Amino acid sequence: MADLDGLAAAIEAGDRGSATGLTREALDEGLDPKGILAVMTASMRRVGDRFQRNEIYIPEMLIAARAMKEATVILEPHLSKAGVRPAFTAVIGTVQGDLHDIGKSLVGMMWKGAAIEVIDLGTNVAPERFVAAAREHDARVIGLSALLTTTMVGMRDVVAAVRAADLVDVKVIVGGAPVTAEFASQIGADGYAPDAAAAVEAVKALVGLADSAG
Amino acid sequence: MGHSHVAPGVSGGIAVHRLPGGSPFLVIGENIHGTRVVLRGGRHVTVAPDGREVVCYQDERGVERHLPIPERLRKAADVAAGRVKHVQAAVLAILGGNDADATEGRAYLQMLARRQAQAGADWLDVNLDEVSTDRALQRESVVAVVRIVEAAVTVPVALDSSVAELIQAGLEASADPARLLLNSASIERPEVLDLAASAGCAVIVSAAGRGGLPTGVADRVANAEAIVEQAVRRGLDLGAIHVDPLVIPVAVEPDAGAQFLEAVAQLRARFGPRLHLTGGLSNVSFGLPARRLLNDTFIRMAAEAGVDSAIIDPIAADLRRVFGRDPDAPPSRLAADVLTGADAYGLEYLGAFRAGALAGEG
Repeated sequence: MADLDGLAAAIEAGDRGSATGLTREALDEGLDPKGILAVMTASMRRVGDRFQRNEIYIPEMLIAARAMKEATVILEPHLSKAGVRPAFTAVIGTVQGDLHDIGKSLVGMMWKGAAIEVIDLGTNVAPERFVAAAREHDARVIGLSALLTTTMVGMRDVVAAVRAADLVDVKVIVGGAPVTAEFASQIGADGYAPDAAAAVEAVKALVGLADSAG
Repeated sequence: MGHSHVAPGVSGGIAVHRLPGGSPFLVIGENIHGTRVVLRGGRHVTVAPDGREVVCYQDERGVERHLPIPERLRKAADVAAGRVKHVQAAVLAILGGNDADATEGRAYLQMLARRQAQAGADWLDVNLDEVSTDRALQRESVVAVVRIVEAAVTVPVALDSSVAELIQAGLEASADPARLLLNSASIERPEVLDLAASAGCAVIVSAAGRGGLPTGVADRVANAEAIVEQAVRRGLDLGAIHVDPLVIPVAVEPDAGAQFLEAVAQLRARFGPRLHLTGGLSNVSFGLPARRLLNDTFIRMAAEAGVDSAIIDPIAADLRRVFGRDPDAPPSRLAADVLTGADAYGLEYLGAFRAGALAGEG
């Protein structure tokens, strides 16, 4: 019997070796790849919850996300063979003039953990690059990060560029230390999340995939 | 006894920190920063008799003072989440409050300046980028705070901003621009070097590259060399340049601590003793518990590698305690292993923390 509880525990502990090994075993036994993926995303959700409750620290969340990512690499060919595609693609980056990487990367990892295809454009990203990447990858979401009040105002330019480019299905979600829900609505963003764990539910709600299990 | 060899000496009327070997260690006090928070529900935030929520503190005479939290700030999401940006509150009270509030705002900033001066800071870093998104208000804030700090203490200001225009505003407001430290110039912000050259003051140059943070040792060293070269070409003396090879949290980049230390060693070897090497050293411990232990350990390791300047909280980072610690004691070794990357992602460190082995390490 494939050890799916063990797989969940391995991801939560950030144990890459066990996570990949148990994923292979589960596939060898013919388990439904979609079911395996569901176990993994549930694990990452628990990791996010624990982080939100201050029970675990940033590096523990990072290694869990890394274990999930490596296990997903093994799973992916089986998922696509079974016709399972990532729910949607999100483009993420830190806005122009801002070199802060950590918050943006944490959100990107949590999104990947939720089986979202993530295109990470890095830091100091100009509005037109967000637009071009969203178009190229047929993204449903653009995630913007800023850690400075001085660069946060650049989020408005990205929202404007997205609207001007007529990307009607693309939602813009914003976050970062100085960013508030009030600021998000002022600049016409579609969504806001105060931290990386909340960003998962927020982005799912934005594209209409809200998970009733929370 | 580790305590005796870091006695603060006195020079030019201010305390000067010294490393165990006797050479000076320059402290850039980081506490006047618009992002600094105190927690609601903690002992620093209370409700005044008039019903307003205030930041509560004692002034030098032991008198309880109340810094009002301005209306604009009370509505912010931060306050709802339990965090009060106290430096921002003081600045907004000065710029937008009634006379009584403005007086309290000034008293609060004077207190922050005096406490850091007493703790031996060589410069007081002032960063007000986060006080407002309005450039005119930011400029007004810098001008007001530079004047308040310069009137309160003899320790000069370090003008810290990611916007050259705000550094220039601080320079123009200063009564003694030649003693300032400008924080910072970089390859993407060379105009700050011109400001330092014309004021004849010191400058921090960061190893940030074009379009991003440096990714390794070679990147840090190359960026630093390029910006130091530009500084020297503008006539700045090596002794007026503080190079910041950039400290990135080891919680996110396990090798970042070791890379910083190696870059410091290489830059020290390349430029000799006159160039200052600095960094926001406490950034290394972001995201991990018992940060004081990690910070103390990193300050010691950085000094050993060649750092002779640091952007730190001079009150929390007591250099006597830093150099008084036994580097071979188990907590110090656990911390050192996280900082060198030997304990990648701090998993052993976190295990020890949860087992109570780091109890008492704030």
